[in-house]
Amino acid sequence: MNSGTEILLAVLLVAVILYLIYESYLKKKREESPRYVTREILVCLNCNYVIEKDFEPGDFIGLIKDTCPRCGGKMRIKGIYSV
Amino acid sequence: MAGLDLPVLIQVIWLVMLLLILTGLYQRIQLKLWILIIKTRLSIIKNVFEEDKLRVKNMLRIMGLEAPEFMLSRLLDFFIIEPVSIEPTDIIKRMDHILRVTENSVKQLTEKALPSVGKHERSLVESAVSIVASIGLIYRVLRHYVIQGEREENYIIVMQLMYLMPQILRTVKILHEALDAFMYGKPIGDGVGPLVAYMLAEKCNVVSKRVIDETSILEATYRNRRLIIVKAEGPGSNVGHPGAAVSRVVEELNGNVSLILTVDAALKLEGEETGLIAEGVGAAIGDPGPEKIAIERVAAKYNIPLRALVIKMDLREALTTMRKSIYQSCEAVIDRIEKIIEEFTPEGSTIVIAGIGNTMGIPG
Repeated sequence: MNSGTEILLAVLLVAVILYLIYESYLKKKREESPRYVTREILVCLNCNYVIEKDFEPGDFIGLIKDTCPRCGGKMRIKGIYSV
Repeated sequence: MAGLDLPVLIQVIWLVMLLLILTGLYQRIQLKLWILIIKTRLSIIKNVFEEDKLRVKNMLRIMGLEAPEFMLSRLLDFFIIEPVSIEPTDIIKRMDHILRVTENSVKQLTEKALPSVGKHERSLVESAVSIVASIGLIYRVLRHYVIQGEREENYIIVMQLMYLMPQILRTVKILHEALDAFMYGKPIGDGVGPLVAYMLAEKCNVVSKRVIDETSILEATYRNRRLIIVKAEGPGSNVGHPGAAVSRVVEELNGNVSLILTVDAALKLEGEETGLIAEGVGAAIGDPGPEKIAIERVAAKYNIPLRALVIKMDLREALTTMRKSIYQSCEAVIDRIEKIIEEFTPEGSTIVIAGIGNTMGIPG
């Protein structure tokens, strides 16, 4: 085996080791889980108008809060979920 | 002196590698490397634990407890000893007793520490503390095995830790994310059972409601049938005692029930879609035993069909704020319940429907 082939083999070996290190440790740091925000659906008890807004601490499903921007009636939280 | 040839260098490297394999030294090098990696990951878990402990301390301070350290350390180190299993006679009764005493003890501790805080807010504290306690327990058990494996140079223990580390880290990360939902009372994926029960109650004509043992029992009429809807009392973080409640209701009716249907969240297999609905037979309830056996016993005693509906999700989706896809699947679950009721029960019959899960953020 001439020195050129040996050098090529050595370079290939180093490249494989570096790739394995990258796959095992470095790549995982880049995979981030998606960020979720909590939203709530409010339905007007009068006209069934639906709005979606950000969750506020203390809210729960069925809570009467806010007034309807369309008819001024009371709004009720129909659902809370994350998107 | 001539310089070192590349072929000679490569031969030396091969010789060293052969010696390492023959003498077993490669294993010791690997052990040291693995311990180093495990310790790095352990320090990540420790940081998560410390961060979440601080968040709960701040939560307690906001609620009016000036020095939360003592109360927190009491609850974080709280332990439960399993009942003796080599003698299985009355093990369910003993287990139920131990679980109830645990529940009441924690409730009393938080009530003494936070007397001016409402019941539902206190339940959020209890759940938040239990999450931090779980992370703490994982950290302490892992640390124990790392120290033991390093001291005894136990290759097998360290290897198992190394290969389980990704799964453990993922679990810790999920618990860390779940703390947000429990601190602010947001509905979680596991609350899909109570949410279905709540939505069903909204559709029916509710005749009466009572609360027994932190569990709501609603009587309603729907499609010429009598529905008894059972769910944990909300909107605090509470799983109630649905098994005991179902058993009590059926005994009160002397077994005149056409169907018992349980609705719960279930862990999905990898590759399955979130929100998938599956039907089956049995009691869909994931407690250690007392609640589940209560439902099974009363169904078997009176020969009542026991059906189950589950909504599939993974562990992260079950413990963190309810995903939109899970929320949207509730309507489909109610349609399925209606279909089961129509297909399997005659008009005028009584059906017991239990929404199983943590009812945080869901009233009723």
